[in-house]
Amino acid sequence: MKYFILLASLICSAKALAVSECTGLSKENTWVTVYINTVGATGIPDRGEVTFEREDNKYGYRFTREDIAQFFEYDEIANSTATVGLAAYVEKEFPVSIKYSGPNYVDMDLKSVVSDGKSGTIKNNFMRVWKGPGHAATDQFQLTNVACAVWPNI
Amino acid sequence: MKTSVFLVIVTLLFSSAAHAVGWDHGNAGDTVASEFILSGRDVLQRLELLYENNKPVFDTANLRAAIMTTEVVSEDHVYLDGFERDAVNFYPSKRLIKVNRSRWMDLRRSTETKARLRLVLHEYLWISGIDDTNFVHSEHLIELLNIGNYSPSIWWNPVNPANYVRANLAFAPEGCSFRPGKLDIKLSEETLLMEPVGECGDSYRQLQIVKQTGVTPPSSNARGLFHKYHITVFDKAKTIQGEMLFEPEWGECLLPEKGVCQVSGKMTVGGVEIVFWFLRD
Repeated sequence: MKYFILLASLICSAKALAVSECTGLSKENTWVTVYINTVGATGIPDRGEVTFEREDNKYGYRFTREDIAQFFEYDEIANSTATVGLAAYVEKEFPVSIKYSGPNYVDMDLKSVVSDGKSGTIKNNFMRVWKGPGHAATDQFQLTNVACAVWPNI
Repeated sequence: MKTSVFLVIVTLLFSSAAHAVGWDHGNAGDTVASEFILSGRDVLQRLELLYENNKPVFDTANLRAAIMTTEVVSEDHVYLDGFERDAVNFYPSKRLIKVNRSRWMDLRRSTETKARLRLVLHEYLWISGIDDTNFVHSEHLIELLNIGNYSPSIWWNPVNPANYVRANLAFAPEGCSFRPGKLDIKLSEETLLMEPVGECGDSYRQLQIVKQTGVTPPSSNARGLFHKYHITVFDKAKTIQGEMLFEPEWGECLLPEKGVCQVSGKMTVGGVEIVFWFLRD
């Protein structure tokens, strides 16, 4: 019986999904957004996606669980803050990293948050993101005006 | 790019041992060997700068040769005559040093800087043919150097540090010149604006240097950050006269000779000659 309960709880918990989403605007006026999905009761990072938007062009790339070397997400309900930390290497080589500690802009348009300058007052946050296929691993966007949202258990 | 970065770092370490091809990502053994070799080169460079009455305090020729040619490996624990040691050298039979990985983890603390460098010097002195029983020479030399505490993981990150910029106008009238600009290697993002002083006339140029920081990819065998500079040169009317992206070579200036290192030579952009430097404070 106890094994059945354990199995059932594992199956049910596997459906739990949280999403961390971070956006920034590069000096080259490219919007860079990184999504990380976590699954299960233990919040294992499952996959990631990077999108770039410049004028009417939108492109990006995905990476897998195996490419994520380190990940941490946390949303503090008491004061609506969030923490996101990511070190991923797409195909074990091309870096995607995030360090964010600030307001949890869940349910908000992150691009508007950045454009309005709300996130610019928070210091020491960054995203360093490989520019994508066709670029060397050292070709990266550095973004320091960053807004993140952690969506727990959706 | 990846290949050149790899070659630079291999050259920097120039140990014949595969174990010592440094800053290996995810392999503690290689990282320890790399830090040991880099620490040896650091001490060597400092010793070469040490003078007393206009004479070098220590002849570094044999020590330099020892650092260049000795294989360094690390093991979880290292023993000599049944006792655990921080490191063991195999002079005179082999040019080999084994470093105790578990003890190096303590030695790499910033507060252990003197002990760390003394150990490194001690092992290399033996390899160079100097009897350093009871640390008799290494202790004395490290005391003379009076090195402040530092953490190796901070000292060697970023992998291509530059903290001074020198600029000269290609065709400047007399009395018109730039003052050197200063960058902070601790900052991942900064903008440096430089303009000449004096009467420059049409030769006037303004220099804008915007620093950006990237993450080193695993294939480089380096773990940390690198810096890149977007250089723009304006004339008096704020028209862009030239721009370029400059990334100093990795590993070139970690252990600068004579206390300064000129990064990647000299470049000319928009009528301005620019040289990046790393000057150890």
